[in-house]
Amino acid sequence: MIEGATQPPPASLDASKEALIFIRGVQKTLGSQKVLRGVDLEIRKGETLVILGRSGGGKSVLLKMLIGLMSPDEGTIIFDGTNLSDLNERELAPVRRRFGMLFQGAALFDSLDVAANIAFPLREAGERNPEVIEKKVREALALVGLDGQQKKMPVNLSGGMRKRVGLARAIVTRPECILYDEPTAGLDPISTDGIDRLIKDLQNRFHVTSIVITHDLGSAWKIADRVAFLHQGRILEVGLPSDICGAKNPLIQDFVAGRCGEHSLV
Amino acid sequence: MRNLAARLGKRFVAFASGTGGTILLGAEALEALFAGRPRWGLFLQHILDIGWRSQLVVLVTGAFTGAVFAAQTFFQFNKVGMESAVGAIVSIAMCRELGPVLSGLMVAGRVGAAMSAEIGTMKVTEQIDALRAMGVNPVDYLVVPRALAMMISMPLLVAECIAVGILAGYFVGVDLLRIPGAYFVNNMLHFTSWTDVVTGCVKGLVFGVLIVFVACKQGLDAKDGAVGVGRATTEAVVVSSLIILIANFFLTMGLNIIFPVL
Ligand SMILES: Nc1ncnc2c1ncn2[C@@H]1O[C@H](COP(=O)(O)OP(=O)(O)OP(=O)(O)O)[C@@H](O)[C@H]1O
Ligand SMILES: [Mg+2]
Repeated sequence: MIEGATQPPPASLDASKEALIFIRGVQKTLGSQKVLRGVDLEIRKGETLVILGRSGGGKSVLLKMLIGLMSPDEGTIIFDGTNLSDLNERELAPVRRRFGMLFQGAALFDSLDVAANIAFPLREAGERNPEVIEKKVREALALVGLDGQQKKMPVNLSGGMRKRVGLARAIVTRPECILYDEPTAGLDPISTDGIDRLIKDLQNRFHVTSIVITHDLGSAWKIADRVAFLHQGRILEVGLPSDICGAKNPLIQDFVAGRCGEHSLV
Repeated sequence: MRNLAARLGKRFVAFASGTGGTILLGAEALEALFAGRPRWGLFLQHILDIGWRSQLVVLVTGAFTGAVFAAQTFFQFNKVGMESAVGAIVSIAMCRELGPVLSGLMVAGRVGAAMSAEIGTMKVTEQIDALRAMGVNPVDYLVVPRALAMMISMPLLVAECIAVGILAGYFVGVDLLRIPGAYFVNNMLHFTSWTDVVTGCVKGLVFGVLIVFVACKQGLDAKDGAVGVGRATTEAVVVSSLIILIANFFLTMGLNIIFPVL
């Protein structure tokens, strides 16, 4: 029904019930800059939504808002029926534990080694058995191709390895919703394909809802059920990958073709 | 002129909001003590960091302060033939003022700086956001264990500083400057009461709390990358040192009401 619509559907109770995450009219000013100017978007249960957009367009800010790390100046974000702005920091904690998040800069705890970083969310979820923790950490590391690196400290990892450890930490608790901020940035093509498959695999096996920010169009077309294009603080277009590829908007055409045309010079 | 007024006004607003923020952090930590999950592992680790690893600094500070204070008191009192009072003067001064204030300043420099730098780095590298994203409250995880560890460690460090200072005073006064040992000790015990020791430890506790919340607040508010962490660290040390000196005056006056000097 909404599939492939170029305009987001009007706000209605139905949509807010059906969507796992429901974003309406979200605005945010950071410093003197209006970063988000009214974002409307729904994320459905079990889908993989890719967010595309120019660098500095506010994608990471939007992602952080989805788990309440930043709060919108205007507008609402409803996750599974709860309006996040109604919750205080302490009440947000149980909501956040249903998410996994990979930060753009990985944000590993640099006082803890790789194994302890990945074990962290497990311990917070109440897992106490060291054998279970070790096993789960090893599995998560194996999924990102880093088994055997448990004892390294984050400062001694390469950029791509850090990213993958961050990914392992985000998925180790099998959250129902995972937010990926550029999961494949800085990775070689083989690792990139591995991560793409992992994201798809998590979706297929555990019905994870994924929101992926990426600049890698190859990955985007591979993993996306739907694609949203964020530009100048608004969602310019949302639809199937094929809709985005064939979009009329010249800016999106330039973006997809990887060309710096007259429309792209902001 | 107006420019100056505006700048002063800005400084004042910054000062007021910083003070307010630090007090709020204290209140939040108090709430977290009941609402959050206790983290004994972190608490023990910070006891080790704050209490155990500050030993050398506090011991050296106490020893040389006691020694130099004994020597100077002796030089002056010797003129009027009152050298037997040196022990009492050293012990009271160490207990009531020198022990707590100097330990406080040293710990502010050593521990306060480390805390704000560590927490500030975590802030600017999004590690605090990562904590929050995993449903961990940064106050529970970072502030409460440090505050508890500091509240245990500081009074003990102060007591230690006092003891070493008095011992060093004894060594200088009796062994080096030949004050009769019995006079030194007798006068000291006669004029020093347990309330002097309590005063020192209470001051230590208060200073410890001030250091923790100032340093953690600076760290949690750090922004603008490495420069910001540097700024937060400097601010933490400067502000907590000044607050220690200022609070010390009011504590002296306040504690004098509770434990009046007869
Ligand atoms: N904490 C902050 N304070 C002030 N401005 C900020 C802050 N965080 C982000 N911004 C600004 O918001 C804008 C959007 O940033 P954001 O990180 O969301 O971009 P992005 O779309 O993720 O870009 P990229 O693709 O390069 O990661 C940028 O102009 C940035 O300078
Ligand atoms: Mg980003």
